[in-house]
Amino acid sequence: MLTEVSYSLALLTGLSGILAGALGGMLGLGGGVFLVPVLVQGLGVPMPQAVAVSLTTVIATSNVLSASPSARAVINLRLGFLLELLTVAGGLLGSITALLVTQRTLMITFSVVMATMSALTFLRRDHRNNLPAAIDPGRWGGRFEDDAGQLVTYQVKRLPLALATSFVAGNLSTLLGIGGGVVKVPVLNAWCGIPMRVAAVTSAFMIGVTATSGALVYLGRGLLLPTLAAAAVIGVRIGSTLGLRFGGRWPARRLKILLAVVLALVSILMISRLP
Amino acid sequence: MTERALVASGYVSTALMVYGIGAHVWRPDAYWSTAPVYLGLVILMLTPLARVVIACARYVREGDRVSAALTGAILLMIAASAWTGSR
Repeated sequence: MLTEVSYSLALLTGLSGILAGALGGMLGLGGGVFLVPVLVQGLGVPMPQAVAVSLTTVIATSNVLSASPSARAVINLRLGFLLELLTVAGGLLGSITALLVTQRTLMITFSVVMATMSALTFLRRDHRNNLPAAIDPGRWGGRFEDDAGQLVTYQVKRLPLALATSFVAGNLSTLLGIGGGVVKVPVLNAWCGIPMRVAAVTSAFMIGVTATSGALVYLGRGLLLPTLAAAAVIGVRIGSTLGLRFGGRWPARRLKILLAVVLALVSILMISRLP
Repeated sequence: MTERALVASGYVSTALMVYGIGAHVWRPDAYWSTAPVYLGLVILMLTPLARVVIACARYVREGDRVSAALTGAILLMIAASAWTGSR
């Protein structure tokens, strides 16, 4: 485990944070999915400490994304809290098992999850969940105005699947240092009837809460390197602000393709450097 | 007003971390270089929790029992996480 943080490591972590935050801000994710491989593979930070740093950056990205006015108009808070309950429960289980799993197993799990989500996102890139405005959204669905100013209605389908996915995402979040959005967003969009934009911002709101529960565990166990975490958070805040500004102008299809490509690259990078 | 306070907390936590890292370069072991970083991280972690607490209070005030119960349960689970981590 690392005990000292060099200036060069802090600087490189901050720069990596800018890139991770920019991609996270564009795609509505926490950025942990990009930062963990960079910290572990590129900078030689041990996995548990990289996960702890990543969880704090996920909180920072979530704070930036969920505080933006455009996101607040779309967030489905009621659905978000329902899913979050299962996500936090999964995270709690993950924090208990995290110290029992080897680094190799974690890296293989990470890689397989990323490859699966990449394929799912790419295959469903043209899928739309927008319903006519007159349709009742139901208890967990909602309405929002799209970029063209038209009222869009959506209903939540396969709620048990959404709940199960949230539990798994929470578990992976604590194990892998990701927000879990990378698992939830593709599934909510592809199978549960939720438009990409709603899934992304609702997930962005939730991942902050999920990551907090995990980060508290790592903080309590003394695995969080404050200087490294601070450098990463500063970078991520800069990057996510920039990413939100540019990503908001991109069509959903282009964002989905970018997400699929990035996830595939992360998966390949991780599996190619197994210890 | 509440939303502004939460947004402001994000800026405060970042400012503390920037100051702490700057001070760390000058005097790595001084308490005034490490304490701001810790404080910034704690404020950062408390912000999402504050959102849940505020939402819970609003649901209680509006009489939305289901949502109030959901947010209350989330807070209990996070408390369990913190307790697990401290052991």
